Parts: sequence; C-alpha cells; structure tokens
Amino acid sequence: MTVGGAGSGPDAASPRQAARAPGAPVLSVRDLTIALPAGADRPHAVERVSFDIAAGETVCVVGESGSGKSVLAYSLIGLLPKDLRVTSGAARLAVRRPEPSPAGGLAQPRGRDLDLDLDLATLSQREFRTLRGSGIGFVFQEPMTALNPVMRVGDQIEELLRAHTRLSAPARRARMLEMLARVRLPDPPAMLARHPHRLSGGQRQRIVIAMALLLRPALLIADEPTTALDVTTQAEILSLVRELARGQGTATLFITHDMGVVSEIADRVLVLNQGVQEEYGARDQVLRSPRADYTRMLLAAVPSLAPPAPRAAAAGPVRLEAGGLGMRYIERRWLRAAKQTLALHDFALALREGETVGIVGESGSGKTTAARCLIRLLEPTAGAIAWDGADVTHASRARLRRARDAVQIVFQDPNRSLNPRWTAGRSIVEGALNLGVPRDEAWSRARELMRRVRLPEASLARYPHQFSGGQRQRLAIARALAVRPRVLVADEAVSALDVSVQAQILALLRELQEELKLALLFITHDLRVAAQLCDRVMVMQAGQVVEEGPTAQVFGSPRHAYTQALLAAAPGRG
Amino acid sequence: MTGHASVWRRAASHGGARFGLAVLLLMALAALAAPWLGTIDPTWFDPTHTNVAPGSRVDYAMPDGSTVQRWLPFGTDGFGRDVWSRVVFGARVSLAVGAAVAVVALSIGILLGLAAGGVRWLDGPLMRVMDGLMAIPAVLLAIALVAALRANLLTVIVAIAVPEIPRIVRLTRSLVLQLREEPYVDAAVALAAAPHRILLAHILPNAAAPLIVQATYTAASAILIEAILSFLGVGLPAEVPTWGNVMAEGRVQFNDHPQLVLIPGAFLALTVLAVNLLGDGLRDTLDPKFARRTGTGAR
Repeated sequence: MTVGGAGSGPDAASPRQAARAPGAPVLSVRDLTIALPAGADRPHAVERVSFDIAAGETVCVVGESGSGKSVLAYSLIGLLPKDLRVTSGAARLAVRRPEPSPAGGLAQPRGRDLDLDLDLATLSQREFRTLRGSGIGFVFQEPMTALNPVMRVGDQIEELLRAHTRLSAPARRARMLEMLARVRLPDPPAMLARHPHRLSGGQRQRIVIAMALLLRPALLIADEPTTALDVTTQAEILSLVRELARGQGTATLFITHDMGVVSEIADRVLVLNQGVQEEYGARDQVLRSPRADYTRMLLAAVPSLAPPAPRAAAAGPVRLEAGGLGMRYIERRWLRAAKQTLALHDFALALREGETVGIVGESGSGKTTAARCLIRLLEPTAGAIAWDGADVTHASRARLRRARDAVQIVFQDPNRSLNPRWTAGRSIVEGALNLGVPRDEAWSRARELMRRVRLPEASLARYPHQFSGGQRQRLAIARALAVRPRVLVADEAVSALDVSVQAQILALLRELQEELKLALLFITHDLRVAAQLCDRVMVMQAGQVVEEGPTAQVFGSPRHAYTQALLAAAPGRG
Repeated sequence: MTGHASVWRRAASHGGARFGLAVLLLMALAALAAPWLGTIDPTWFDPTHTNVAPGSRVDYAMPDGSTVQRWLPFGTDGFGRDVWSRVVFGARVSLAVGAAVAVVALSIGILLGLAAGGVRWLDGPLMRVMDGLMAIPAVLLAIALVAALRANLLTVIVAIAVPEIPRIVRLTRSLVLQLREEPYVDAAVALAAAPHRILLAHILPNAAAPLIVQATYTAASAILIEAILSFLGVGLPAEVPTWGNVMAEGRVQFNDHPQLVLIPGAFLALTVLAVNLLGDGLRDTLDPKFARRTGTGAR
C-alpha cells in the first residue's frame, strides 16, 4: 500500500482513506522493525516499536547513544542510511487539510482530511518527498549545518513555499514574516536578508523550527534539537516548540537523551534500549514510577541539582595558582584598525591538594580558554600562573616540557583525544617516557593504572577504535595520570558520554582523587555534574568570573543574575 | 592491527582498485620479465623488414647474425625494429619513472610540508616559493630542467618530480594544520612531547591515507609527463625505448601505419587509467568521508 502524496494528483486514490474519529492519533506506528546490516552488533536497529501521537501532543523518544532513537525518526521521513532497511512496520498518518490562508491557501488542499495508511517498508522516495514537504516537518540536531551557508535565510524559507504552495510572491513574504515573528526572532525583515553565519546558534535553530512548521505539518519530528545549544537557549527553544506545536495542533515526536528535557516537554515517553521498547507511557508515570529496570537506571544516573553535604575544606598545599589571568586576541586586519577580542579577563584561582573546583559557564564564556591557559597550551596575555609554586606564565617551551608532570588534562571527546594509530599502551606511556621515566617503570605504571580505571591489562595492546566511548575516556584518564600529576584538569570530560557512563566516570574521578590526593579542576556546562562533584564553583560569563563560592552556597542562594538564570534554565529542575 | 588490515581488505574488495592493481601488477611483471617474453634488443633493427604488419611471421635478421623465423605480434617500425620488444621494454621506463617520481616528490614534499605546517616562521617564505613554482606550467618547467641538466633517466625523474612537489607540500601542510587542532595533539603537548615528535609520531601517521592517495595520482601524472617529454623529443634520447619515443617515431607514418602510435598509446592509457583507478579505490576506502558516502565503504 502506498501513498500518492498528501492528496495530490490522480494517484491519490491508492492510499486507503478512512473517516477519522475526533481525537484519533495523528500518527500511529505499529511494529516498526528496522534491520541493521549483517555483521553489526545486533540484528535490528529498532525492534517492534509501536506508539501513537495525538494532535498537539508531544511524545519523547529517550535512549542512550546506539539505542536506535534517531534511526526511528529518520525511518519516518525516508532518510535512513542506505544499509538500513525497514523490514516491517505500518504507520497511519492523518494529514489535515490546511487552514485556508487569506492570501490564497496552500496548493494541495483539494479534498478533505484524510488518513494515509503507509507501509514504511515499501514507500518510495518520491512519496516520502511529498510527505516531508507538507505532512511532516523535521528539526535536526545541529543548527550550524542544517542551513545552507551560502543562501540567505529568506531564500531558503521561500524555497519551501515555492515548492509546496501556489502563493504569490507578496503572499509568500507575508507568510515568512508572520512565521519568523511567531518563533520570536527580532526584526523579521532583516532576518530574511541575512546569511546563516550571521545568526547565533539559537537564532538558527529558530529558523529551522520556523521552516519545519511553515507548511503547518500534521507531524513535527525533532531530533535532539537543543543538544548543541546552551542551557538558557535550550529553555527558550523548548518552550517555543511546545507552544507552537500546541497552538497549531501539531503532533510532535521529540528525540532526546536528556531526562531533564523529557520532564519539560513530554506528554508521553517512549524509552528505547538497544532498539527495544522498554517502556511507553504518560510522562509522570514514566518519570515518577517507572516500570522498567532500564528506565529506573537511566533516572538514577541523572545527577541531582542539589549538592551533597560539603566535605571538609582542603588544607593541603596550593597546587595550581593563577592571578589576574587574561587572554586577549588581536586580529590584525589589512588597512583597518586591529580587532581585539577579550576571551578571558582577570581570572584568579588557587587550587589545593585534594580539592575539586568547578568552572561552569555556557559556550563562549571563556572557561576552556582559562583551562588552556592554566595548563599552558596557551600563553596568557596578562597575569601569572604557578604550578606547584613555580611560575610558568612565560616559561620557555623546553622548561615547560620538563615541568609538565605537575598538571594534566582530560578532554571532552574521547573519540578524538587518543591518537587513532597508536595502541592504548603506547599512548599511556608516552608522557612518562617524554619526562624521562625508564621504559620498564612507565609500562608498570600503565599496567597499574589499567587496574585503577578498571580495564583489563590486555587492553594496552588494543587500538582506540576497539573501545567504547566510556572506555576511551578511562584510557584518557589513565594516560593523564601516568605522569603522576598533582593537578588534573577535566575539560567537559563527561559531556560527550551517556548518562549511565557519565555516572561511572564521575565515580571513578572522585575515587582517584581521594586515593591520589589530586587537585581537580572540573570544567563543565552541566550544572548537575558540577553540583555533585565540586567543592567550590566559579561561574563564568563572557570571559569573566561573575560568581564563586562553595557549591552549596552558589547553588542554594545564587547572588548574580546570570547564575540565577542558569539555574532556572536547567531542564527538569527538582 | 585489525583496523589497518580491514582497510586493506576493503580496498581489495573495491572493484576499481582491484582492476587497477591487477593491470599494474601485470605491467610490472612484464617490465621485469621483459628479456624472457620473446623480445630482442629493442634498439636492434632489421632493415630488410620495415613496417611489417602486426601478427606477421617473417625471417628476421637477429643481432647475433643468424636469421630466425619470428612472429611479430605488433609488427616492426620504419627502421625494422620489433615494436613488441620496444613496447615491453618501454614499460620499464614508464613504470620506473612513475614510481621514482612519486617517491622523490612525496619524500621532499612531505618534508617541506611538515616544515611549513610545523614551523611558523618557515611557513610564509616556503609557501610563497611553492606558489611561484606552481605558477609555471609543469611541462614547461620539466622541459627547461631537462634542457639544463641533459637528458638521462635521473634528470628526467628530477625534472618531472620538481613541478609535482608544490602540490604535495600544500596537501601536507593543510593536513598538518588540520590535524594540529585534534585533541590528541593537544594531549601530546600536555604530555611533554617534543615538537618534532608531535609532527612525526602523531601528525604524520594520521596524514598517511590522503598522502598515499596523492602518491598514486602523482605517479599517473609522471608517467604521462614522461611520455609527453619523449614525444616532444626533449625526454630520454630517441634510441631509448619509451612509450613516448615509440609514439614520436610512429607519428610520421601515422596515416599508413597507425598502430605504431596506437599500440604504445594504448599501453600508456591503460597504465595511467589503472593507476588512477587504484588511487580512487584507495581514496574511497582510506578516506572516511568518502567511505561514509558509499554506505559501508566499498561494495
């Protein structure tokens, strides 16, 4: 059974049309199974998944990476990767007749409301295209790449209206301006004339949402639309999606990994684990009294925003110290005044043995610049840095190399922080060998560290691609510890990991810190993680520390307006 | 080494790469075994049997003074030389030039590229020199170099390699600049690795795949340029059997005996095609960007 497009043309007779009861679901999916290619770690990406979405309702599909949640979304719009195949699955999509618009209405509203019975396994690309245009809207994860960088925003939006409606040019423009106003973009006429690079990430995502909802689709699919955004932007986008979808009566399928986001936006929740539907039910039931063990585990792994009881204040020696630290970039431009950017201003820190200090902030707040200065991957333009009491602010490269056993770093992305052509062992012993540790001792340190990070010793002979993301982060930690540093800087070290893995890595960091008396500088955008791990936190905005203090104080009674905004925007508070 | 092994296995299952490799191996084998493939001295001529049609059987006067009835698969040229022998021995020159140019241009190009990408003060001056070199057409530069150095195999190889170097320097430099931003390079800096170790042990191995692909394209272009030089009469001396020389000599009789140009031309085209197909196959399998585009790599 096929669909001939949303009620278009002579072949529109083929879909089975049925009278629809009021309140019936806009989309019902039954027994959707998608096969993975032979040789994958499991036979099906998604196995016998069924759900319904009613008009104005939001269903969240939650799962960790590899759960098949994105594959599920892509299968509904015919954008599956070539080697994946829908083996079974029926979907019934109720395409509503669009409301007539004053300027002449859409091109395809001949006929009445109809229900299309789709066999997802046999739908052709041409049929999917018609569906994508007017039956289903889609919002991608990455707002930076979802828009064509060489086309003006207005032209990209207009393309949709040209392809799917018969509106006149002035009517198209009116529709676009109205839509941009509805996604609350400032100065819509000016927005239309801009290229995507002149918009912020949040503005771009608003444009993408405007495009997805422009043709008033019956169904909106959003694949992690806020994952690449800062928390404050995320909060705005979430409320926008919810409000627009309710207002237009659009059914929304929302893909996310974040339980906090689920609690903000979902009406119903579908929990996927390894392609299998673990649980499907109303939001409050799933979040408050989950039936599946897997859901319970996921919920338990989400760190709480309430900090635990404070530890005794660290009294050991100061291991890492900085004062008045600043980083100014000067961009010399030909025949024009040089452009200055102040990435970091007046940053001060004293990190003691056994202490954990958190730096929290959104993208562009200067927290990573601060970290890179502190470990002297960057040379600051102002201020001073001392490792173990020794000044290294402007130390020569050779002197720095000899001092590098003091401070080590763990990066965000475990897929890229290990040299893919080196065995794990070679990566781990590298630092020790560079610092003059004899080969035998370096390898015995590596073996001991593998025990500490709970990986088998045989892993030393394997290559990074043979490990999972969490295991690679353990390797990166082992590599940093192999030089016996006194300070460990973790730059978003758990941000790229699934929550369950994140919980394990955080526990490991805490344990290693206790045993090795490490001073830990923990840089994160995630307030929940900071709340659980840090003794003190510093909140950064636009290159400056706007608030700092003991974790309980900053989280309990934030003084600065920005800290308050950050805490208010954290999804799923309470 | 499972990661690397699987890449080679995937390359081996790529149709184009397999065809290219097979043709190249066959050519290389023929070039190595040239003396035992029913050939005679490629410069020897029997003036009584000129312009014999391909596939004829004639009583041919051999270099040792005897007369032997020989089958001449490709016939003889205007001097009475055996075209089969000249084409097979010509393969030696073409393949040697292709391989040697790739090795020479790549070693020098990678060295300069690493220097430009890794040493800040060298970057500007070095790249401007490369830009200057690139502004001169490759064939003209090669002709000038051969003219200045007198033509023999070594000078021809150098003359063809020099214009190829800037492209490899640019590629290597851009790879260095790109890989330098990888977190594992930052990690290496934090782990007190010396600058030259970062370039050689961290960056270079990860740049290997695109450089290997570039090497095949360089080899293909070197084989062509050698033939062009010979054809123009500025390459190896006319008596040396190279595909370009054989074609150049056949050109005057093209109307009556087109096979004298077409046969070496076909060998040249087939070899260049094979090298390019091998390069495309390696690119498809070694470069993850292309591997993703074709689904699971090559099928």
